[in-house]
Amino acid sequence: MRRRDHQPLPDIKEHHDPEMSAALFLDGRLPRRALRWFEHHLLECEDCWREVWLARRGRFLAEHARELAPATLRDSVRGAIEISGRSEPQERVSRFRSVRRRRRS
Amino acid sequence: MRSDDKIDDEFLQATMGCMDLLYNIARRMMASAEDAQDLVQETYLAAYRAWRDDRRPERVDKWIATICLNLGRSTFRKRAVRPHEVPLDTHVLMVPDSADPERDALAGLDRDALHAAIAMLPEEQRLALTLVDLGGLSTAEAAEAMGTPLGTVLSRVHRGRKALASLLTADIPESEEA
Repeated sequence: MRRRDHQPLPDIKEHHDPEMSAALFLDGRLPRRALRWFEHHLLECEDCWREVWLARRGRFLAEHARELAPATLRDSVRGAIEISGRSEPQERVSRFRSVRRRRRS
Repeated sequence: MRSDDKIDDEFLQATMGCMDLLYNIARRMMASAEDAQDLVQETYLAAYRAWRDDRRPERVDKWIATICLNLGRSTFRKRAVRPHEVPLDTHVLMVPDSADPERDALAGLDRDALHAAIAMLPEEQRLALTLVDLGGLSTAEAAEAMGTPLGTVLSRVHRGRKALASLLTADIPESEEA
């Protein structure tokens, strides 16, 4: 069982905030001394360990939710840009809408 | 003076690499894939107008993501996703004693369940998570795109990740205090 005592040390010791400490740690924003302290602290603090564990898992899950844009969307955007570049402002709107209608149909 | 064709080519060359980023943002803001595609297309057209007016950014991805966020929040607001949001504060979580939280995170996970869980996050968490973890922006870039302080984005990303993990991790037992 990990101990809950929080070693006094650098910045994050003054105001022990597991959530912000874990967020800074995972974002690579802890200065070197604070990083060394926090890595050691993680082995002793259940709250901070839990914050890091959950956030790492959530990050991993989120990264796997990435989607690729459909190829047809790339074509639609290229087409809309080409039309827009050749059109007057008023005309662009109706032409864009017709491109969108074609894509939806 | 540059020709229109040259401007078009420059714009497309500079921005087409951001298509997946924009699509992922749009998918997290809109109710359907079609609406998301419309938002991406509107974003490109808005960016193109700015580009033609010589308003060109140093960092294209952050710039065009900002346009997408703003358009998604305004023009498309009425059609936007309004999922049931789950306040994480109501969950007091314990974690299994596993050294590697990533190893089995995807085991048996349904992809639809993953997207549904992301859709359940509070909007600002969902967008911060999308920009950083799905879009690959740094937290500093996401903060600029969202117009919020860095600390706020750090907190939103962190809470979003935790909420996502808790929504999709069946083996997290409730703590005694919950």
